[in-house]
Amino acid sequence: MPIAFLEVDRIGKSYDATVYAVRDVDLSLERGEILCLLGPSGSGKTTLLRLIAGLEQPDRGTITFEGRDVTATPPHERGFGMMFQDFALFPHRNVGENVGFGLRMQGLAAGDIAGRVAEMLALVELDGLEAREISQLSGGEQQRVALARALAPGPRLLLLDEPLGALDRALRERLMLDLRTILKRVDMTAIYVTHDQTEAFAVGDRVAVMNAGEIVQIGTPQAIYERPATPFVARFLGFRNLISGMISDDGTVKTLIGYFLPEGPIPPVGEEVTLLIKPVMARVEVPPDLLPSDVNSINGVVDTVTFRGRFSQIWVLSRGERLLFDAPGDPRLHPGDEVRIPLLPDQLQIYESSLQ
Amino acid sequence: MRSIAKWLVLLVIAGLATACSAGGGATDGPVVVRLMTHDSFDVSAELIATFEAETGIQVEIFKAGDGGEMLNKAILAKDAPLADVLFGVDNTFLSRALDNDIFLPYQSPLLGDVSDALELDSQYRVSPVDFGDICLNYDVAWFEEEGVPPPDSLGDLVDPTYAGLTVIENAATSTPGLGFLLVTIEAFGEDGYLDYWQQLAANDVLVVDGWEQAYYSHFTAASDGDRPIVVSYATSPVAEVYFAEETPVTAPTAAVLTDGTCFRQIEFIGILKGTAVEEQARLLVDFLLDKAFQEDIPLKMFVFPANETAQLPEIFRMYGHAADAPAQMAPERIAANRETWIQDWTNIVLR
Amino acid sequence: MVPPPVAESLTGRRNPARLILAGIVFLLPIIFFALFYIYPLGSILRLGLIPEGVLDTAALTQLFTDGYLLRVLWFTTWQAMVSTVLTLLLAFPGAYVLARYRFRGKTAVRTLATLPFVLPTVVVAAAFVALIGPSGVINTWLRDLFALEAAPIRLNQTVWIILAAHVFYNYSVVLRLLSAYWQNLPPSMTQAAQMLGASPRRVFFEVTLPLLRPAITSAATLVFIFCFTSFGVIVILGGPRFATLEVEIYRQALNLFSLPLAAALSLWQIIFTFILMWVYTRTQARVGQTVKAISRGAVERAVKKPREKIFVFGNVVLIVMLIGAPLYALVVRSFRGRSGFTTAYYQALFTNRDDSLFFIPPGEAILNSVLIALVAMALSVSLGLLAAQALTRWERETNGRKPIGTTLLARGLDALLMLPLATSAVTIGLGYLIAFGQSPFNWRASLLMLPIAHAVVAVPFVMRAVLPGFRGIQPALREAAAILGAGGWRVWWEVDWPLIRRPILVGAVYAFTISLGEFGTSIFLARPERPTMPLAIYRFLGQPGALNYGQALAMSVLLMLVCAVAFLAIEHFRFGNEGEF
Repeated sequence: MPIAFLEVDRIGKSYDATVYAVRDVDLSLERGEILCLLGPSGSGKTTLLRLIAGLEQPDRGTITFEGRDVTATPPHERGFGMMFQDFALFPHRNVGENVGFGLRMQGLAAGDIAGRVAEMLALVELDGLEAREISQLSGGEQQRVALARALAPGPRLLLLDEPLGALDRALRERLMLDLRTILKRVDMTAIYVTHDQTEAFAVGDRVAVMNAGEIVQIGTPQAIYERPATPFVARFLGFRNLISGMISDDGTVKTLIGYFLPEGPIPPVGEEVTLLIKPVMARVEVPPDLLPSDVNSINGVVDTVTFRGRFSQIWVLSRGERLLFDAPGDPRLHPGDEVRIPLLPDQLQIYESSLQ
Repeated sequence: MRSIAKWLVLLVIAGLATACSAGGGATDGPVVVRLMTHDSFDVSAELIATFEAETGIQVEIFKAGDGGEMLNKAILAKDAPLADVLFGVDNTFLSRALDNDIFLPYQSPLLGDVSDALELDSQYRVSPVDFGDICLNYDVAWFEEEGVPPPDSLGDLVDPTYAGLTVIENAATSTPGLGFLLVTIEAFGEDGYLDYWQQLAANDVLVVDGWEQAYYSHFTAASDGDRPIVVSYATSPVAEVYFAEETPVTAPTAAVLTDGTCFRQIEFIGILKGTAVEEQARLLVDFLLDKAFQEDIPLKMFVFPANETAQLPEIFRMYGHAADAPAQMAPERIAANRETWIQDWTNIVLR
Repeated sequence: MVPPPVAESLTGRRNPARLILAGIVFLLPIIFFALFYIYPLGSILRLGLIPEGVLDTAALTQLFTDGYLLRVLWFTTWQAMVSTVLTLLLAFPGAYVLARYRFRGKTAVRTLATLPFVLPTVVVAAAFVALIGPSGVINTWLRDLFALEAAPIRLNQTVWIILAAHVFYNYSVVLRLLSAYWQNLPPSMTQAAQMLGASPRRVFFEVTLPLLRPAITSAATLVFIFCFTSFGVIVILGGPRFATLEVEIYRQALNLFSLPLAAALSLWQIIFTFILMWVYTRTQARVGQTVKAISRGAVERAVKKPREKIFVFGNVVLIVMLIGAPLYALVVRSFRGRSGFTTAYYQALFTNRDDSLFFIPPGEAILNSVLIALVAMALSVSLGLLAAQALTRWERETNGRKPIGTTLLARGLDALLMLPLATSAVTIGLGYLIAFGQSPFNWRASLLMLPIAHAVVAVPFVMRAVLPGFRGIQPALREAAAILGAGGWRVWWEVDWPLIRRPILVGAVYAFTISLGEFGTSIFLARPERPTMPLAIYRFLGQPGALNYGQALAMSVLLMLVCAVAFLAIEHFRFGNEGEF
């Protein structure tokens, strides 16, 4: 079995005796891969990143990089690059000096540094701005200088801590794609921390979702979106429709709003479960017949409709539960319309109710 | 910011307004006589109260630094005098005061009770009010423990036995320091005193800037210092007994009072030119020369009263004797030579 | 560049009342400064230098022609430089510890460090003598330990004790200014450098040090000016062999009564300081450092690793040894009678045994001192804030675009406002005596003159503490706050206040302390019926006798106590809801 590029083995860190920031996390990373650590604030993603960087010391566990144990190696000897949320650009140095800082630390000749700095600024499309003062840069420019600075010394691994967190939404949308393009162009291996799932999905080859100091799910964006491993992940990805239920005698999931039969194995009869209904609304039947709903269909009343262009968001009230669906285009529904929504087994997923 | 600024502006304006009104208010109350004096001045509250009750005058006392400082301020502000009566200009500074013409003459009837030897201005611009003798003091216990006889003369100080034992004050900045320099000039003459000082310096004499440092930083009897001989006053042993933390049987310090080793410092009062209340100022001068105040002087300021009818307190009769034959020098001679002497002395001792 | 919203709201709406208010805001510090500094200073300088309407040029040039005065100038400069460097070196690690670590007793350490500042020099001298004098604690101990004949450490009247005392006095200036600024530096800066391959040593020299430069230069300038104008330490601990310009001014003015030379030296001292400040403000403006308010939680960390423990512990021990030991010796001495422990000195403080007119009940002295200090603090913080606000605005708006004159004016004003610190207490004291003794400003008898005089000296302090923070406020931040709907003072409250809160606190603490311990002008202005604590201390030291000395020490201990309580109260007052931002 080939040795992983970066191997994090049962690493743990706590700031005081009772609260774990990172709880025995395992993680491995392939060369050239971009991994996003996704989670709400306080989930331990930044601490994990700082442990890998060496800015924090773990209480236990090891970090192996290219087969070498670097757990005790100080950050400046690890050869990793890092981008900070506030960019941490040095205000007492200009753009060129900032980008060239790491190269100077490596002891490169002035001429070589200048060449490499120019190259890096070209990469982030800030050609010729070497002499600019940091205070004269816009937020987006600062972000790109920070990236150029982190990349300039040619790190083996780049760590990014919410690198777009300080920017406004529109800028973020554009820069997250630029960022991935640049990272891929230089074939960089990277770990990217964010609390924004859109960002994680857009940038990462794989995404690790963290909660309470643990990685609860890791996989490609598609896999995670397809099958969120826990209700927490589902909620965090923006799925709203989580309903509690119980396995009935016929093996269906019995809930307040009807009976459902999802794909895959079903827990034993009598088990309490949480049902996730993904918001895909391929079809709406109007007006619904007055029969009780079948298995895998919901009867309800349209509450609100929000037109979003290529799709519309529809809130449906069904026996006190508010459910959110996405319908393609304009479904021509109005508040008060009675609807019947048929669901496919693959848009249903069940969790044991002990799972958070 | 705006409301904060508004608030600050109001605050500061209110402050300034109060400052002005507090300063500007002239009242119709009793006549105020302002007494300007040095930091060492002290008096019983009751005496002042009695004086105020009897005369209807209100006394305001303004302390203006040490003797030299006080006089300099009085001279600086002579166009708008800081006070009506000045208390405490001494014979080392008297000529400067008289040359600057800051006093109004006044011959108090009480001068009859004052020793003629103390009266130095024939025009009565100033009147002697008290005197003290600047002289060597030593730590009695220290000399007993070491088995060394205490110093007895100026000559002892240059004896190797007494090497490194003496602390004196800077003649340029301190009255006791200047007084002691004048003692040596009287004793060895203008030709000989610098030789004496040269020997003194060679015998590791320590010079500090002021009496407080000499006494409270270096004198073994009063501090953690290591100098058992200090230049202070003949009355310092009285204060040591009076202000002892537990009253001792004998004084912990003693003054050397042998002939010609002490300098007699005489303090004067005078009415400042430009006063608007000369009449009342005269009453205050009389009060300061009168027996009641004169008898209050010893235990308040630890100097001797100028008024010969004043009784000394018991503790003074036991521990505080004035020198029999102190060195004295005419104020004119001091004024004429002071700067040269101090400069020469500084060159020998300090550089 | 976007002007701050204040300007917008004040000028943009063209409301004349607001415009006038704005004018007053920025004029007020200037008026105050002109009236209570320039005017008295000018009065005394004129009297000294132009006595008969003709400028005394001989006095003015004497400093550069007289060999002795040249030596004084040289000594003044080099001892100030060495003192400053020593203080910076010693206090730097301490500032780091206070800024970056969380540990028990931190407030106590900070308070302890500031205590020396309030003590009169005579008392500090007594403390030093009690500690390292020939028969002080350390020498006695060393003599016993090595069976020596004479005291091994003989620092009295050497330059070493001058340097030690300067470090002792000024340690807290560096400690406080530096740690307050350091706390606002984002830790990500140094971490970024680490991640770029910089070793801890290089991180320090390439990033930390340059980023701290505004605070370092600020503190260094203050310490330098303090040492440059040092008086008490030189006279009392150094002895008559040493003289700074300040000492020489005092001697010339009051002992030798050579007012022209004293005035000339004063003027030169002011000019030197002004040049220094000018150079300093130039470098300061160029840095243009931007800081953000950072919560203490994000910056401070617990002391965990053994290495950190040693480092933090070592620095706390250094502070305690350097500052605590002399103070401790002082306290011990105030309880030591001829036959051991005694409270006699403290008891004596409360009895007026001879019905003296000048008896000072300790409670009254404490009350007077604290009241005066509070008024001086309020005045200097208000004026310092207004001046700092005006200055930063000026700098921003004139940054390279407006006529050069305005920029020069702003810088000049900054340098000018520092001058009270550099002005000899004797000179300014005499100036007050002359200027406020006659119309139109016959205020000599006013109760407010003392706090005003203290505030004049304290304003530069508040300015120095607050300016780096003010300069660091990004206009964008205020803009953002304004866009988010924050009105004028809300912007100030939400944006400026969190950033400058700590510096203001530092400034306030110093203003309070300066006033509490100030003696130089007190002697000129304090009225007998309103005695302050330092005045009481000097009263006792003026007469011989163990009880007098003991009472002076006891009063000094009370002064320290009052100061410590006040510090703790001030710190508590605003740090109640820390961790908020």
